[in-house]
Amino acid sequence: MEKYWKSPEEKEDNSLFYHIAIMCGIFGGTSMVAYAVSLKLISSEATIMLYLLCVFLVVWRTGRFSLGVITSIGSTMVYYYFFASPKFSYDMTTPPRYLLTMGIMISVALVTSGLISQVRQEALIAREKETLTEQLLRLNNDLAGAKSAEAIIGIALSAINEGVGCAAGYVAYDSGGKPGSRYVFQTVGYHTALTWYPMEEDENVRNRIQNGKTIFVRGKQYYEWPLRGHAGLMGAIRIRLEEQEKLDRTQLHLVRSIIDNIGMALDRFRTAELRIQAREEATQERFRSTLLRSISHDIRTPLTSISGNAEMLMKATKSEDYRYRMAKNIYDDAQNLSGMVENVLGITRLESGVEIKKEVEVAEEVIGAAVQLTEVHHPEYDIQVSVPEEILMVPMDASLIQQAITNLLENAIHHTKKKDGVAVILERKGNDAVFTVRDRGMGINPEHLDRLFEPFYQSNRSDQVVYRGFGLGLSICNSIVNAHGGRILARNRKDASGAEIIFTLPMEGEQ
Amino acid sequence: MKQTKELIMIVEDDRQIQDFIAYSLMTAGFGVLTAGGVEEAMRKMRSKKPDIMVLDLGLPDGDGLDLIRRVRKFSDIPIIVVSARDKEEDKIEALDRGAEDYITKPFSESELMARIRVLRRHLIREERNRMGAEVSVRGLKINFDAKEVTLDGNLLHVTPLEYQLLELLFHNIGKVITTRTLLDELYGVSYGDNTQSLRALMAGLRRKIEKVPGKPQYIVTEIGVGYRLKDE
Repeated sequence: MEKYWKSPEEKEDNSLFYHIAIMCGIFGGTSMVAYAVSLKLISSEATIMLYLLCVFLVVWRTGRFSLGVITSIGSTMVYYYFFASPKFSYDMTTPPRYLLTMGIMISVALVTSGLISQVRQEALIAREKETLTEQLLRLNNDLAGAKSAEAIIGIALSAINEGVGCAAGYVAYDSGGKPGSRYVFQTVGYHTALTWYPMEEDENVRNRIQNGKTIFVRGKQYYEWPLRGHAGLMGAIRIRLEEQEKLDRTQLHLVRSIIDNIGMALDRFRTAELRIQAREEATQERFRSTLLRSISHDIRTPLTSISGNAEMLMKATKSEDYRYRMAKNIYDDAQNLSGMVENVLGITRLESGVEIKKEVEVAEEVIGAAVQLTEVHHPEYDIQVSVPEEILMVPMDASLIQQAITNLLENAIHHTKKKDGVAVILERKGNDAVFTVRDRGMGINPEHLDRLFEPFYQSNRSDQVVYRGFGLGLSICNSIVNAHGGRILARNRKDASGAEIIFTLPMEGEQ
Repeated sequence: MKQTKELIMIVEDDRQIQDFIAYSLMTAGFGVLTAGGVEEAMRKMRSKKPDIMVLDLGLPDGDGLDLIRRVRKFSDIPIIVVSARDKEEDKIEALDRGAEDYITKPFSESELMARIRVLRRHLIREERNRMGAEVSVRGLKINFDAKEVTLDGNLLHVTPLEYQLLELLFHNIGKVITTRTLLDELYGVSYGDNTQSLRALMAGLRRKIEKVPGKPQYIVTEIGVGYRLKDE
C-alpha cells in the first residue's frame, strides 16, 4: 500500500541558491531580449514592460518576495542606465522618475508574490482534499470486502499506520461500557504484526469515554478514540501519546476521518450480523415446529390403529385365553408410547421458550378434565377430588396445566395399588391456588427427593411394575409450573404412607 | 324398515386406521363406505348418500375443513372429525363449520362407538322430528315446556342463564358444544370476551348438579374446545 499522505517535511524545500540562480537567469534573459529589441525599436515603454515581466516571472518561479524586490531594484537601475536616455548614464535631475518606476515594480512584485503564494496555498489545500478523499475511498473499498469485525479493525490500524505513520491499537468494549481484558496493538517493523496486551484499569478514562463529550480522550499511555454505533460504545482505537502529539492538523483530520469510517463500517457489520442471526433463528424455529407437527401426526396415526386393533382383539378374545393377555400387553404398550410422545412433544414445546398464553380458568374445571382423562385410561381407579367452597379463578394455560395434573395422576397411579388411594386436593392459600396430588404408595426415598423433577430421572424400584417411560413426566410438570411462575415440590405424607406432590399457581388480585 | 343400521362413510387416507374404523363399524352392524381423499369423498357423497361421515382432518389432497364447507352446501349429514391433539384451532374451526363432534388420535374403539351412538340418537330424534318435552340423563331431567330442571325428582333452582345453558346442552346431548357457540347463544355476539363469565356460570351450575363439582359426571369439559353433556 503506498503511503496515504506525504509528510510536511517533504514539501518542496528547494534551496535559496537555486532560486537565486533562477533570478539571475530570468534577469539575464530579459536583458538580452531588451537589448535586442532596443536595437530594432526605439520605444522605451516596451523595454520597461519587459523588465516588469521579468519581475513577475522571478516571483512566480521562486515564490520569494525578497528576490522580487532585488529584481525590481536591479531592473530599474539597468533600465535607466542602459536604455533610457541619456544612455549609459544616470540622469540624476529627475530622481522621482526612478523611484516611481521602482516603486511600481516593487508593488507588482509584492502583489505577484502574494498572488502566487495564495494560489499555491489553495492548490495545496485542494491536493490535500483530493488525496484525503482518494484515500478514504480506498479505505472504504477495503472495508467493503471485510468479512469479519477483526478484519475491519485490522484495516483500520493499517490505514492509520500508513496514513500518518503512527502505530495504533484497539480495545473492545462490551455492551455495559466495560473494556475487554486485553487489547491489541501494532508492532511496526519489517512486517507489521498485532500483539495482545493485558488491558489496564483506568476508571477515569473509562468514565470520560462513556461521557462521550470528546472525540478522543487522553489516557496515561494512549489517546483513546471511542467508536460508537447504534447500540452504543463498541470499542476504542488507541494511539501512543507521543506519536499523536507529533501530528499536524491535516494528519489529525485524516486520523479522525479514518476512525469515523471504521466506526460506521463496524456498526453496519454488526447490524448485518444481527439480522442474519435473527433470520437463522426464525428459520430454525419454523423448521422445529414443522418437525414437531409431522412427528405428532406420524406417530399418533399408527399408535391409533395399534391400540385400536389391540382393543378389538381383547374384545374378541375370552379373558382366560392366553391371547387376551397378549392383546392387552400390546394395548398397554401403545398407551404408554402415546403418553411418552405427549411428554416429549411437551418438553420440546416448552423448551422453545414460547411464552405461554394465560387465561383465567376455573381451577376445579381443569382438575376435572384431567381426572376424567386419567379415569378413561385407568377405569378401575376411583380418583378422589376435593375442592374448596370458593370457585377459584386462576390465570393459566388450561391445556398445559391439564397435562401437568394428568402426569401427576399417572405417576400417583403407578405407585398406588389401592383403587381409591389417589386423590387431588385444591385449596387456596393467600394469593396462591394450591394443587396437591396424593398417592398411597411406598413413599419417596428421601435421597431422591431433590432429583425427582430432573428429566430422565427414574427411581428404580424392583418392587413395582417397571414403569416404562423416559422419566419425563415429572420434569414436564416442573417446566410447566415454573413457566407459570409457580412452585412445585414433592414430599412424603405425614398422615398416611405414600407421597404427595404439591404445586402452586399465583392468582391475580381479587376478581 | 332398514335391516342394517346407517351407512357411514370414512374419509381417511391412512389404510390402517381406515381398516380399524371400518371393522369396528361393521362389527356394530353399520354399513361402511370408504374414501381416501376429499374428491373421492365428494363423489361418494353424491352417489351413495351416506348417513354419517367420519372425517380425518389431516387429509393429503385438500383440506378436511374445506370438505365440510362443500358438503354443508347441500347436506346436513352429521360429521365426526378425527384430529391429533393440540390441534384445538382445527377442531374448533371444524365444529364451527358444521361438524357435530370430534375425536382425538389416538382413540379407542369404544370412544368412537360412543360418539357414533350419540349421532345416531340425534338422527333418530330428527327423523321423528321431536326431542320430546322432557329429556333426562341419569337422574338429571329437563322439561322444555315448563322450563324446569329436576335432579333425582327434586326441583333445582337455577337462574335463567343457567337454564338456558342447560337447555343448549340438552339439545346437543352427547355432542360437544364449542365455547364460542355457547358464548354466542348465551351472551349474544357482542363486544368483549365473556369467556370468564361463562366459566364462572358453568362452575356455579356444576355445584348445583354434580355430587363432586371437581369430578363432573354430567357436564364434562373438553379443554380448549368446549363442553359436553354426557348421555351415557
